[in-house]
Amino acid sequence: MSLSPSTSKMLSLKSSDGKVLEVEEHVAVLCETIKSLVEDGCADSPIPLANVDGATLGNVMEWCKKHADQKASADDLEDWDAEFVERDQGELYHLIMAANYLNIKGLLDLICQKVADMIKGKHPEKIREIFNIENDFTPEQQEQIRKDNSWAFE
Amino acid sequence: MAEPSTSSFTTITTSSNGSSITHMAQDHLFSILLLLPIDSVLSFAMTCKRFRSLAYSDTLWESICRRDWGHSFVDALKSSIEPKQHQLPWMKLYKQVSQLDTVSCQRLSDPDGDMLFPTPRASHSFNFVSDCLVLFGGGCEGGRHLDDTWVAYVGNDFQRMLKWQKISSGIPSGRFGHTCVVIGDSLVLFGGINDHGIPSK
Repeated sequence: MSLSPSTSKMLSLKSSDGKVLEVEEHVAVLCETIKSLVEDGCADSPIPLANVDGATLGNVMEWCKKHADQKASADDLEDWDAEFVERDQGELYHLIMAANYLNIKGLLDLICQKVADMIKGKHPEKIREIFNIENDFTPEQQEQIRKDNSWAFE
Repeated sequence: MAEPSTSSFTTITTSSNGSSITHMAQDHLFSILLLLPIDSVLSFAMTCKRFRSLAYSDTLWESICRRDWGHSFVDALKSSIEPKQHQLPWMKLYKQVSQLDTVSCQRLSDPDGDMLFPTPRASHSFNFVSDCLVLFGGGCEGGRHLDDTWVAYVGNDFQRMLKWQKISSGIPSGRFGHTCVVIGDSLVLFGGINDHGIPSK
């Protein structure tokens, strides 16, 4: 099936909070979930996406549009992605859930890498602070776990 | 899908210091941890009990082993284990291998031409005591016993160059195949045989 922009028709996507988004088919099919619906001829209009809210759907489609653009170079995409992930944790979390639900591997990998970069090279206290994690270890347990793991920090 | 309802998302977004990562499904956290170096995985494990049990999971560490050692290595290892045999947890295995990694070998430089150097030999004793390597006896080519004792200092300022000193010959008497062990600051020599086939006491 040819999905070039010129022949692409529009699909309507309906978010969990009832917002309807008009998206070109060749952009929307970057979501494997939507692609299967289209290929099976089950793409009712509008397609209900019960697990994605309107704001997140907008962000996801923005990413898909950029990545469906044949003219975008690899370097261009990399810079664009780096800017795209500059978001608060709430948004990143929603994007991960949406990328998982819509089955967009590229987006899922991108956000996971972003979260990994937020953890990488940081002390436990710093990680707790960034992600607002409550420390539920006793001082003794903390000392023990520090000892157990010291091999990785030598 | 077994995901939280969208209404719970909203509360996360609006909280001022959203702790969204703590709400993430295990699969996603695994994907994230697999992108991290080992020290970061363990730093994450040290943040709270839930993340400790997650970051210590055997499934995750098997994936880490696959990532760092390759699939063929892990598969070979798994197939070498008997069904009833208890498989070492992957994290423990990773730790042991990484500690092996820190053993390194260096070739000691060859001594200069004018330096004294023990002759080639076999069945000698070779011990480390009081910051020194102590070499005694053994047999040389032709099966002749040797009765020389050599010492090389390998203490703190050791420069990868063994400087051997011959400290005595004839005492103890020449022998090979003896045992020599370190007890405290002393060496205890026992047995061996000389080239007349006479065992030493």
